[in-house]
Amino acid sequence: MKKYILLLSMFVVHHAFGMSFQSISEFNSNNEFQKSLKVNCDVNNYMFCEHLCNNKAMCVIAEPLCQDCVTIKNQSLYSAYLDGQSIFEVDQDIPVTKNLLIEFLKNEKFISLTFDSVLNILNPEKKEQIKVEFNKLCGPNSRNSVLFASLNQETKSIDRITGIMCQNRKDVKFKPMKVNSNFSKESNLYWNSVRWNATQSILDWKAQQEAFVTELALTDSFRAKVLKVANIYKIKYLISQ
Amino acid sequence: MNTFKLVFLLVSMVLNQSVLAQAISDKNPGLEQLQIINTPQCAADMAKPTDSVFITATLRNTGIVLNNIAKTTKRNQLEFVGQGLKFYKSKLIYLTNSILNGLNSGNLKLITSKEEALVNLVNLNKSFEKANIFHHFLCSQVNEINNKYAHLFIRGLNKDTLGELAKQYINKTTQTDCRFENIKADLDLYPVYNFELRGLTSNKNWNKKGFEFWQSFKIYLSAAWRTADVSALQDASLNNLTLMVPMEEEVLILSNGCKSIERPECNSSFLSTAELRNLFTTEREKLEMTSSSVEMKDLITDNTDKTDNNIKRQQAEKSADKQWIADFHRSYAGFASKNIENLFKTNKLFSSAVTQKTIEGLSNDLETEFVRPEMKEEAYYMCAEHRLLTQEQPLNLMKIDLENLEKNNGFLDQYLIYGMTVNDIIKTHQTLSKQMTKLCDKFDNQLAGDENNLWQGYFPWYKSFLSRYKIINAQIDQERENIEKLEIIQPIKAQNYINKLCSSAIDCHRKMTEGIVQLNKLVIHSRVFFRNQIQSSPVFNERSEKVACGIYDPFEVSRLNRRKLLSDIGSSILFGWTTLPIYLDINYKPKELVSFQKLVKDGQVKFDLEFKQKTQETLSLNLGSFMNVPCSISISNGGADMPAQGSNLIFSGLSVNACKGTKKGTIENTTSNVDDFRKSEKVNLQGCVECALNFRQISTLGFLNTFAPVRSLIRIIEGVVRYSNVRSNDVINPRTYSINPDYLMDTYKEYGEIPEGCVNILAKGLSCSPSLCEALAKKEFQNKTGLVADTVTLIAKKGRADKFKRAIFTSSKCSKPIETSISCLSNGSSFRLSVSNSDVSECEKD
Repeated sequence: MKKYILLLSMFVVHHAFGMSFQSISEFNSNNEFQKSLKVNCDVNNYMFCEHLCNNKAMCVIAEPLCQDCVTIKNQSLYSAYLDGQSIFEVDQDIPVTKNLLIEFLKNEKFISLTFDSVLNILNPEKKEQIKVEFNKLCGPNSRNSVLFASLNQETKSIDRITGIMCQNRKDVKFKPMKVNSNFSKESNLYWNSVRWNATQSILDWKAQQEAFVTELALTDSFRAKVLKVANIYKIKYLISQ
Repeated sequence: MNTFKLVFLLVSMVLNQSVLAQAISDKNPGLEQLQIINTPQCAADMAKPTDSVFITATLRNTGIVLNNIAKTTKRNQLEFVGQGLKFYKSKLIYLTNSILNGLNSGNLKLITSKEEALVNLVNLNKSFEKANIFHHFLCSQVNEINNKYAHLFIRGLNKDTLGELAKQYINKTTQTDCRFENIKADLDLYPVYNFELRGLTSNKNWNKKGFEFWQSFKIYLSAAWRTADVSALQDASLNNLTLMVPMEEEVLILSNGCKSIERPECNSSFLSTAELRNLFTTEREKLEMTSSSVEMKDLITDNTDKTDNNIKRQQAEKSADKQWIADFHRSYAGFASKNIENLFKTNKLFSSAVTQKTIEGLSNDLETEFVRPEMKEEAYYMCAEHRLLTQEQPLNLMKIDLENLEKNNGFLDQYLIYGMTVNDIIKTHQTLSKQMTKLCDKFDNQLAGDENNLWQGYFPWYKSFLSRYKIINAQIDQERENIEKLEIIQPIKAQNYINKLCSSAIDCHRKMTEGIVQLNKLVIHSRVFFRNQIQSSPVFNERSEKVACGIYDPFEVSRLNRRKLLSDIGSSILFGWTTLPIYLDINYKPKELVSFQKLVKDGQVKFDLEFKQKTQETLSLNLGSFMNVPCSISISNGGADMPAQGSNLIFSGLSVNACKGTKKGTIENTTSNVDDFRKSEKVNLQGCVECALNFRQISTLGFLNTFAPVRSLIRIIEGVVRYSNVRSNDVINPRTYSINPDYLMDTYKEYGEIPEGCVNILAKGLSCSPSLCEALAKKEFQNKTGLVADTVTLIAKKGRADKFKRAIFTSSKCSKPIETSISCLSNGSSFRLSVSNSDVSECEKD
């Protein structure tokens, strides 16, 4: 069923999610410190949350313990808080789909960095300034932008800055980040791999569908029509659920 | 499970308390003899593994994280940070103690190879359970530096140091042990714990295995920090928070004394750990003289943290507290962050420049700018710096260093997630460097060809610089080389090149050249400032690197006794600029206009004897253009600070300062008079002879931020000519003094100070009280006759109760008392004893 939803979201390419994302730091029931990302979904977007965590209204994604990551020797952390705009920029070439975002939130290890993150040891007192700098990465009228950093599989410490959640009064947009093209021309390998993983899921589903259609031994042109109808049917079916 | 933990906790606490109590009572029957060793002995001791360490931490970053968390989760900040720090400290003590126990009992094996490390770490938790029994290692919290640690700072004895010590003994300082209930939940970000392993040293194998012991300890601590079960500790739920900041960046192990933690070896790693010592000073002036002075200066002025300053001020007001360690940590953290910043900045500059302009583009822009007249000044500096780095090759070592940089930069790349790798940066520099050489040659030749017009408004120093290369033949009129000119330079209007990273292509090339110098420094500092493992350092052993490198042999006095070692060898090798010991004969005549070259010609600057034959050539070769960078020569009488006004002849760049100063015998003064019991009226010729940067001048230049002339030059000179003070104590043999604190206190109480005559006696562990004359007489009697006097009776001169004229000695070896004449005032002065072997001819001799 999840795969169907993935496919569904693939077709619904619009960026206004009408949800809210919040980076939270709290103590859990064992009195241990826990950083998490809280996602709220409204009635129009319940499927996003449902797919993410099987809850229509809200998801709390626990972030891994950021071991050994609070150090100025980390170029991501250093640049994010001291020099964000010269090192990073939003990658306009990666289309953001809900399924890509779900793939990212569900399967990638990440840490969210806010203007007042507890991980900021570089200039924690300059909150307002950091807020402005973070928002500048998003463009005009943005507020409460949240940066995302991936974690190194081996060392468990912060690896790359991978994305930013841009929020304004009307909506929330998730934008993948890349290295600023004034700084380096390197290609966005991180998002290519996330996208590849997402595509793999779609391909799996497509392959299953292909197999089903092949079984029916339909002609090519007719098969295309069936697939189209099948999609519409599935969308209707899902909405009715 | 919980019950089990509780029981375990109780048991371990009880064990902990009783064992510690036991250890304390064993250890404190009276006052321990105080052992003081002189510098040569200290140097000799370094070959042995230490049995006492300071485990210190700088919890600044952890403190900030805790504070951030408290704010975000709306907890009481003071309380939460205190609680978090307390947990961190408890964990550090708990793991240290457990690992020391494990290693001692054999439950944790010594790690001697990588393979072993892997095996042992896999089994760590198992071994740990067994090792996890509190044992008798004596741990105390070091809250102040008191007489217990006098041996760290005193390398020689005189009346002042002994008096200071006596005062401390009389005021009695208390020690707090490391039981968990004694760890305060306070905001102390720089805790220091002293772990004593005295029990182990009786083990014959200790000298053999000691270094492996400490190496293993460090590896285990790193592993255990992340994996060990710490549920036995209070507030164990906070464990996550101790893992966020890399522990290795926070914890440092120092040897408590002159013995070592790491096997001293003459290699760059060891030398760079020894370099830590340069940060280990509370004297800011001293810091300025260290190799890292430029960075340190920036750091000190940038440090506007009010809380920090307040704490600092409060601490400075209290004497004898552990300011030293806080200062050290702060300098260390600041220096380390400056280093990493330099790496990121260099990476950003090169990456951005090449991405936006390409290498060809940069070269073309440089060529275009070279023909613009308004860029000439910048071009001067760029060419001077470039020559210094590539053509001149002071000591021919920059080239070697670049090769070294190419080979050894791999570790730096792990910190670079984005942008160019270090190798790409070096390759870019090499390509750009060729273009710079070409353009500079052309530029210089033009100047030489059309001097009259082109010299207008420019600095003579470049002319001088060119004459060095024989590009121009102009005579340099030293009299007219007026330093004032440097101050009226107007920086060129800042332009925008590469997104404001540089003001022009020339500026960019200068900055990139500087970047390469920085990278070179980073590679050299790598071991210490990019630590992935817990650091330890011979900070209290000021000659460790010299001994390790065979430059200083504490037992071969004669080899060194006529030398005045001015060059800090360790640091010179470390910084790769000079490998030669350079001596400066301090008998030169002041108030003469002298260039460095003249000093050499006149034989004022001397080399180690081994280098003598080729003195002139070698110095010219190795100091390169610095020969012509004139020196400032001055003599001042006011101590080691800035030369007095008027006697200072300032040229540009290098300066040679010399001064006389009386030695102060304060307890902090590591240079206090060593082993000198002569009553000397003469002012000690203290070796504050320095050929170093003239900081007064540089600070003037520093205001011209955008146009600091010859940035690289400043740093290079700093590295090339770094002289440490002449130390007369180079000629002293290794010695150990043992002082009985009770005798010391008695003497002080009786005289209100330590009389000169008592220094020698107390230093031998003898009593200098109640009668000083008696003690002196006994000692002299023994010196002259070889016999130990059991009693001595002094007879005073008639009418002068304070002046003795006769002494009667009794000894078990003599059948009759021996009477001699003596001269002694009751304060120990005017002492003379007339006794010879003939006086004791009837006594038995051993």
